[in-house]
Amino acid sequence: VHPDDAAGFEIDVSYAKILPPTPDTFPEIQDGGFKHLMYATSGRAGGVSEGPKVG
Amino acid sequence: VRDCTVFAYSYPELVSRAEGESLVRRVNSLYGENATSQFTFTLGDPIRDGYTPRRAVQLADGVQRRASLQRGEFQYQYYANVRAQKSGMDGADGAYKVFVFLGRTRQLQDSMTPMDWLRDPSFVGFTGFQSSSTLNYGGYSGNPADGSGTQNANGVVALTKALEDRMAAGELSGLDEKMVGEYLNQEMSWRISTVGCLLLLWVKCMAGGQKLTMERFAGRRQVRAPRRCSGL
Repeated sequence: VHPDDAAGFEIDVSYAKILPPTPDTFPEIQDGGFKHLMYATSGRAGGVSEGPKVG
Repeated sequence: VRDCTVFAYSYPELVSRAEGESLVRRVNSLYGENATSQFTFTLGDPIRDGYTPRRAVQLADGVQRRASLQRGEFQYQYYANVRAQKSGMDGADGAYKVFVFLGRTRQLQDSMTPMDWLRDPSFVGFTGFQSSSTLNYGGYSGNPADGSGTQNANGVVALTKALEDRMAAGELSGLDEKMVGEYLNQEMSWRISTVGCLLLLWVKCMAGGQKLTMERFAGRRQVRAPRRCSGL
């Protein structure tokens, strides 16, 4: 998509790996917190930063 | 102050706790995986014939939210992060929404009505933005004198439950980051609409994320402008 069509718009995906809660513990985020999920929106519109292409 | 009742208020986490019930256990019972909603809502007007009701609509009847389908030692949470300039998007002076979909939007076809989008099985969620033109200053968009007129606004759409649904339907074999990344690359799409239901942008990547078909709409007039997404 040409930047003129959606200037300033970006979308990407983040994820976290979580140790599930028990009745007596809260969920616990692993590996230092949320991370950017590469590939998910690569090559998409609106100035999305491109990761390595899939396929 | 540990006893907030001296201020004549309290919190549901604190009141009427059973003997020996820990605060963590109380919080989990109120907000954890098996918590029940304290309110219900109806999503839009009654469903027209031919539309498959989404799970969210069924939950409005008070059905208890199901537990996560993820099994194993760890679970994954996924979010779509949307960023937009406060100064607004081309043609979107005012408020606009970003709708996120997973999978084939088979019931949408060329519908330009967001209420139809909400009912499509592919619909995941939306997030809204309030923008204003930097030319007419119809609302706050930063101070152009200090360059803050290009400040970003952020929105989030939770993807986890929708991805679990796809896993239950056999479209995903798991929810680790590699599987989900490849799935989203092929199946995630989004639409942007003003509050006046003017569809601004519909973006959908085709197989492999290599080829992009974009359709822009101006009112009921549709302008097709297929482009490749390489280099952007």
